[in-house]
This record gives sequence, C-alpha cells and structure tokens, in this order.
Amino acid sequence: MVKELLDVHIEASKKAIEATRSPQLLYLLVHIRPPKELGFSELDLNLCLVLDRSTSMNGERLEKVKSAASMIVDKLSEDDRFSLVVFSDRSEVIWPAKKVPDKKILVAMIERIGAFGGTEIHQGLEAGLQEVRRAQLPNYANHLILLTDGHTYGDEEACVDLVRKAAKDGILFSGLGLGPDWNDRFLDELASLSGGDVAYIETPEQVFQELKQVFHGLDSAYARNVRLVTHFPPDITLTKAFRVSPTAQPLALNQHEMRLGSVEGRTPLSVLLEFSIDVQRAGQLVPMPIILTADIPYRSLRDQGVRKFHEVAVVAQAPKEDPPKSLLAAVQAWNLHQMNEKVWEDIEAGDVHAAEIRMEHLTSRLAEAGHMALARQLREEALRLSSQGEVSVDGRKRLKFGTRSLVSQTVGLPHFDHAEM
Amino acid sequence: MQKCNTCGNEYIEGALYCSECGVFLLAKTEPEEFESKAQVPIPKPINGSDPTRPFEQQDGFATRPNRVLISITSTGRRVALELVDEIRIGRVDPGQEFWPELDLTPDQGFECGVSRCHALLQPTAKGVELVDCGSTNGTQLNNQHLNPEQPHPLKNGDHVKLGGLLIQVFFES
Repeated sequence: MVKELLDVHIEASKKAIEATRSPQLLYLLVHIRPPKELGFSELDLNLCLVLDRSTSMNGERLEKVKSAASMIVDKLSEDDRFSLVVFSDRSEVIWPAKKVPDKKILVAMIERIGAFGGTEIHQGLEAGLQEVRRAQLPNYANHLILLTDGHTYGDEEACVDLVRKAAKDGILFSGLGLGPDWNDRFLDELASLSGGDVAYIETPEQVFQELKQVFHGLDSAYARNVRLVTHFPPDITLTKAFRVSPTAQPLALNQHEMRLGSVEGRTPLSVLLEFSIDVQRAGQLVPMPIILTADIPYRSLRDQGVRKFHEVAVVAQAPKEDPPKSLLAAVQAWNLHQMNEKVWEDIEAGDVHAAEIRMEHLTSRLAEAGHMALARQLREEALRLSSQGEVSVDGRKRLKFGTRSLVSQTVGLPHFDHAEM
Repeated sequence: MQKCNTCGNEYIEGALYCSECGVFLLAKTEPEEFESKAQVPIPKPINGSDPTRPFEQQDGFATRPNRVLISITSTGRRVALELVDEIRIGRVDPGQEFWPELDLTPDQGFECGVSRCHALLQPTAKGVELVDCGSTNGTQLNNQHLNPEQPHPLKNGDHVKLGGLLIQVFFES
C-alpha cells in the first residue's frame, strides 16, 4: 500500500448526519490527482481504431472518418503501436498492431477503404481487441476506439463479454457515435465497463475534433485502469455513481469494483458517489473507506492500492450546513441530466403526459441556469411531442449528451445557479 | 422524509435536488428566516420613516435600492436580483424567446395563474415601482388590486400577489 501514489481529496454533502429511524442519502465528490511533487513523462500508445464501414457510412461520413483517421495517424509518435480495423458484417485488419515507420503507406491504405454491408460491432471489436492484445505492453496506454453510425443486432451480449474481459486486462474502450441512428445506451454500457468515454458526433465535420478529443490525453495518463472497491460496511450502499471529470460518463455499479477511467496530467479524475446510509445511533462514526486500485505506467506499477478514510459523524441534531458548492453544482447538473433521461423513459413507456410535465420543468431549470440552447432544443421536442406524438432521434441525442456535458463543466466552478441565493 | 415544496414529491433525508421538477430541496421554507438570516442585510428606511406608509410619503432610502430580494411564500424559494434595469416577473417561454428575470414556473406559476409576462419591477429615481403588465389573473399589492399598466411604489417587505401566487419583496441599498 503506497499512499503517495495518488492524491485523493473528498468533499461530502454533510460532515455529520442525524441519528434517524430511516435511511438517508450522502453524496461524496472524490477528486483523484497525481501527487503534486511528481512529474511524469508521456506514455507510448497502443491504440486500435475500429471503424464502421457499413453501407450507411457511404459518402461524406466515410470520407470525413477516413481523413480524421489519417490525421490521427499523423499525430502518432515513432514508438506508438497502432492498428486499424474496419468492419461491416465482417471485419478486416487494415493495419495490424505495430509501429508506423512510414505514415504515407498507412494513409494510402486508409484512402482505399470503401463502404459496404451491414453493422456487426462484434466483428470489429473482436478483431480490434485481438490487435491491442498482440501489442500489449505494461507501460503502454492500451486503448480501443470504436466509431459507428448504426445499431448492431443480436451480438450485444458477445460485445459486452469482450469489453468486460478486455477491461480486466487493462484495455480501455471508448465509443464514438456518428449521426442520429447509433445505439447510445449500448455504447454507454460498453464504455462504463472499462471506464472509457462515449461521445456524440452530430455531423461528419465534427469527426476529427471528437476523435482528437479522445486521442488527446491518452498518452498523458498518470494512472490508468483506476478502480474503486465497492465493498462498504453493511449499513452503507453505493446507489449511484457518475464520473464528473475529465469527461462526464455514467459508471457501472459492479459487484466488487467500479472502473473509473484514467488520471490525466492536467485534470483531476472526479467521481460523484451517492450512498444510502442505514439507521445509525448518535455518537457513532460511520466509516466510508475509499479504496482505489490503479496502474501507474510511468512507474511500471500495476494494481497499486490507495486508501483514503472518510468518516461521517452521527449526531442527535446535525448542524445546518450548506454542502460544498462544487459538490452542489455537480449534483445539480447530474440531476438535470437524469431528468432528461427520465423524459425519454417516460416516452418509451408511453406516458406522454408525464414526459410533457417533466419537459416543462426541465426547460425552466435549464433556462434558469443559462443553458438556453438546451432549453430551446427541449422546448422544440416538447412541441413536437404534443403536436406529432413523437420526438426526433437527433434531438434526443443532442439533449442526452448536452445535459451530460453540463456535469463535467461544474468541476472548479464556484456556483452553478447564480440567481438563486 | 423531506418534501419538495414545488411538486410535493417526497425524498429520503439527504437528497439535494428534486428529481421530478429539479428544484433545490434544502431551500429555506420560513420567510421569517429569510428576513433574519439573509446573507445581505436588509436596509432599514432612514430618518425615522414609517415602513407602513407608502414609499412616496416616506423620507425614502438613503440611496436607491440596488438589489431586490424576493421570497416566494409557497415554496420558500429566495431569489436575489440586481436592480439595474426593469425586472420582468412571469414564466419562461423558450418557444417565444421570453426569459423573465424572475421565472415563477418552479413555484407552480402556471397552476397559480401567473402570466408569462405578469408584472414589472421598475427602478426609479426614488425607489422601485410595481407595474401589472395586463396579466390575465391580475396583481395585488398588500391585498389591493392594481390597475394594469399603472406604476405603484413599493416599500420594503411588501406582499405582492401575482394571480394566486404570493411573493414578498425586500430591498437592499
């Protein structure tokens, strides 16, 4: 146990809780950073790009994806390992995992990629992960980025199994969805298994920007494969978890440990945790140990444990205290995102009336917080729902990823809603 | 258990925001508490002025108020706004690009009959005036119905009823 490997700072919604006869909620905002005194060098990459080449990608989409892939190739350093896989209903390894001494050859191969066939993500994932594993080295950032514009059918479970196993081997998965028709819930599920990200690319023009965003930071990770041990004392239950920084992403509540992602050099890895605490007696201290495990490639260390003890006092009458502003802002933004998700759940469940009421509330909350573009988008969808009985698929994605990004904007901000006292 | 003052949903202790309507659950519910514990001190009228007399009959504030503190009685929500230009009170309507400075939607403004543009708070040389914008359900100042488009001076602690929604207004210089 080497404590100084990670700097862990915890903010709690309450310093003390009241002894009550019913369970109560407590929020922790956990910030994980490299120790201040440590510098670290860039990591070499072992990156696999898995690109959808199905018929729906034909035209501008594929052309923009190809030029974005070529630009990523251009950014590789000479010690990076790179592989490129394309898939439709079968996969093809364009460039097996290895160094890229002559980038022009690879760029020319990318140029020749054409579109055909359906979308079977499992085909691409299997081939891509095989390439990452072939070149996997302990001190490399092992990462697979999948880009797709469509749904996969019938092979979802097999994909989940692949990513789960890869995550155990320290391979991170990130998904990029292009256009309105890809399955965001499925990619979210895959990303949350490994602690990776999902991004929504609205138009082909944005492909390079988004790909660069994911690519950026891969080689500057101080700690990778950061996991939170989810065994807490029996009267404490972790009920929800969400990564706030560097990118906002829901986290999967697994039985033993939760994968949080990487600690990059510049930005803290921050996660918001919601706990339910059972009945407690006054005078007790509730222990809430935050136990992390991480790989520190810069020091050639794997599975290093870092422990931070947090305790909450139980008192007969808790003093009135305001939660820390950064925690409050993160919970508020997270709540807006969750309200947005519930709108679509209401619609899918056929409860249009509940969805309309929720949309009205959410529109007001977004407008009050100054997020006018999102408020307008939601209003448009509410009008569409009441007049046509349906919402637009691209509007849904724009709102989902728009409200999600509000969460990551809260880190470091003094307050979220300046009009409220 | 704690209850959302806006939509009535119940949450276990420790919840911070209502998942149904999105408002902050820990907002103070007692207006008295707001008066006594407001972070910004509420100014007292000067020169022995009587706060029960209309503003225009008073000696006035030392300087024109530059901030208005509004307490929504039913929900306990408190909002502080700068008194630079006029303050529109009503309900947000993104479809019409209407964003009032004080949006009463979270306080059941619609259910209480608050119009989109219901009333205005207008800063003047001497103080602040309240104007009903021709609202559907009218505006009352200390239980007196106001004629639309007619300015009425406000004093510290006045009660204003917008349709069926009661607010209390305080000023800070």
